[in-house]
Amino acid sequence: MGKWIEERGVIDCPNGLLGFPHAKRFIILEESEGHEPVFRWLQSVDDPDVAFVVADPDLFAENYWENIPIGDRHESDFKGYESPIFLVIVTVPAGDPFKMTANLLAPLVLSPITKTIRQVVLSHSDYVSCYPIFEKVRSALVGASE
Amino acid sequence: MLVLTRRGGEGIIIGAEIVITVLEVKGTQVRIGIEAPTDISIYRKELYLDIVGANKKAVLKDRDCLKNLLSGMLSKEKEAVQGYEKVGKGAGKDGKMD
Repeated sequence: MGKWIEERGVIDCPNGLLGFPHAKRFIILEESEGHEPVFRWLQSVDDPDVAFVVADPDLFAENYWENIPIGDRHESDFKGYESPIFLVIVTVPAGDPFKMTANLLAPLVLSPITKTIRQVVLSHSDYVSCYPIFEKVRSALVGASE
Repeated sequence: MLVLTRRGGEGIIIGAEIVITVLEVKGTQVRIGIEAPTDISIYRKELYLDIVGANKKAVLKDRDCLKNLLSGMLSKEKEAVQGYEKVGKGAGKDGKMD
């Protein structure tokens, strides 16, 4: 996770997230509990009700970026996104958080240079939109606290 | 919905910058070529709807629920461990389904 994320500031999302075209500005919040946090909060500045849990995809899929097919890497989506930072949206089902999943198919790509974020769909990849992550989150947390 | 009939090799222009060409018609499949400015995202519809659905489901409704779960995991509370065992396997090793 890049150092840039630690710096507070508004991130522009010119196209909005898919299904949330009006959410064009976000801030990233983190809960500091004395260790590298597994989750961060992506909070819309425009709509207080729109917030997502996000995480570093490398926690769930080793070499996430390297495994993105060439066909997806050359999409115009990555234009101007040098040394991009990837985040994936995590779904935590209400009342059943153990069934949490991560959307590895449609990551958020952050450009530290332009301070913009966009959601891309990796249509050539085998990644799925609801990948179960509880086990990996648990071992990441327990590992970090030991 | 505007409905147009096109043959292979014929096209449609949307606005001034988007050109859609029917490249080939073969049985039940149609190959379509799209030329558009790079800032316009193009998706397969079913994939787009899948992601919209996933995003809507992911909107965080209960921050405390997750926080409690995380602190429960850290203190290795019985409840979290039981939940972990209940969830079981089902995840592949590399982010893809087995």
